Amino acid sequence: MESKKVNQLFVTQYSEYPGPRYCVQGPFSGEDYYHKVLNSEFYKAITNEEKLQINLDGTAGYASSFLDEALGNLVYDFGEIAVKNNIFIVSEQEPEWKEMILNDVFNQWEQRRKNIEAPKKTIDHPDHFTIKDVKITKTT
Amino acid sequence: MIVLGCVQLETSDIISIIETIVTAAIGIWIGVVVQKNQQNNRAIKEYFIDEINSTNEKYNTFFEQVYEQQITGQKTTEWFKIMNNQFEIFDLNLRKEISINASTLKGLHIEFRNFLTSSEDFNNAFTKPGIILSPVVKNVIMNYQARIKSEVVNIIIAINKSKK
Repeated sequence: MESKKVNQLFVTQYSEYPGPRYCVQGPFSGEDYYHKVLNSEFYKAITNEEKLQINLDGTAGYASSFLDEALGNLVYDFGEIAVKNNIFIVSEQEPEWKEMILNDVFNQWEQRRKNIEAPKKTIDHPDHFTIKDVKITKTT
Repeated sequence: MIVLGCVQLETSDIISIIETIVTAAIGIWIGVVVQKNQQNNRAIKEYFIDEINSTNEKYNTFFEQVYEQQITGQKTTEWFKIMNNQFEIFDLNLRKEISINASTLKGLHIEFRNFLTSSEDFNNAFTKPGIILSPVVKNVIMNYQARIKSEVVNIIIAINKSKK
């Protein structure tokens, strides 16, 4: 079985100083990272049948809310299975982040997805990709 | 038989003398080595106790800054990462040298970090000159402060009690 090509994404390319949860709370937020970077990168990866490697190392540090909002939105829009099958997290400097994301964030946001508890959007974002009825569509 | 001046030594006497000298030498050697080992072990323990006390001081300073709104959101996340790395090294060396682990303390640190940095108060005040926390959140933080202090004491006791 041919292994998929890996597309590497470093959070440091977005910011070395990740911020709070929402855009209205400060710059370089989890909400902003998801809508500006992660959503489209994940969409590219799954349409090109590639894996997306998200590398958390090298920043000045994270608020847990940043990671929760960014990765949680990904699960909300694409589902836990699709996300788990198509990304892997690298966090060698602080391995606990990877554990938190895989064990807590994914589970909690998958539950939110099932309960249709939509994530908060504190500013207007451009259309973004989601999976709806097994099809990827663009939505507001 | 050996004659030394007016002293006559039988073979058995010679053997006894040699035995006494060798036994004394071994005793002295063991005393020196054991004492040196004990000194080294004490020095290692004191090093780790100093390290954990230093960590405790850093925590005390951090808690004061949080209560007094003297630390920003950004500085808080940086502090947590630096301390996390220090815990990792401390725990590794402690296990290697004294076979004690500091994983409970590290676990508390992670739990505290996740609680504080996920709180709405923290995120709402992220860009302010100092994070402003409600009394409810402050109370939880005080609880963490007590648990961390208690765990520091547990580690110091464990270090002192360790056989090495």
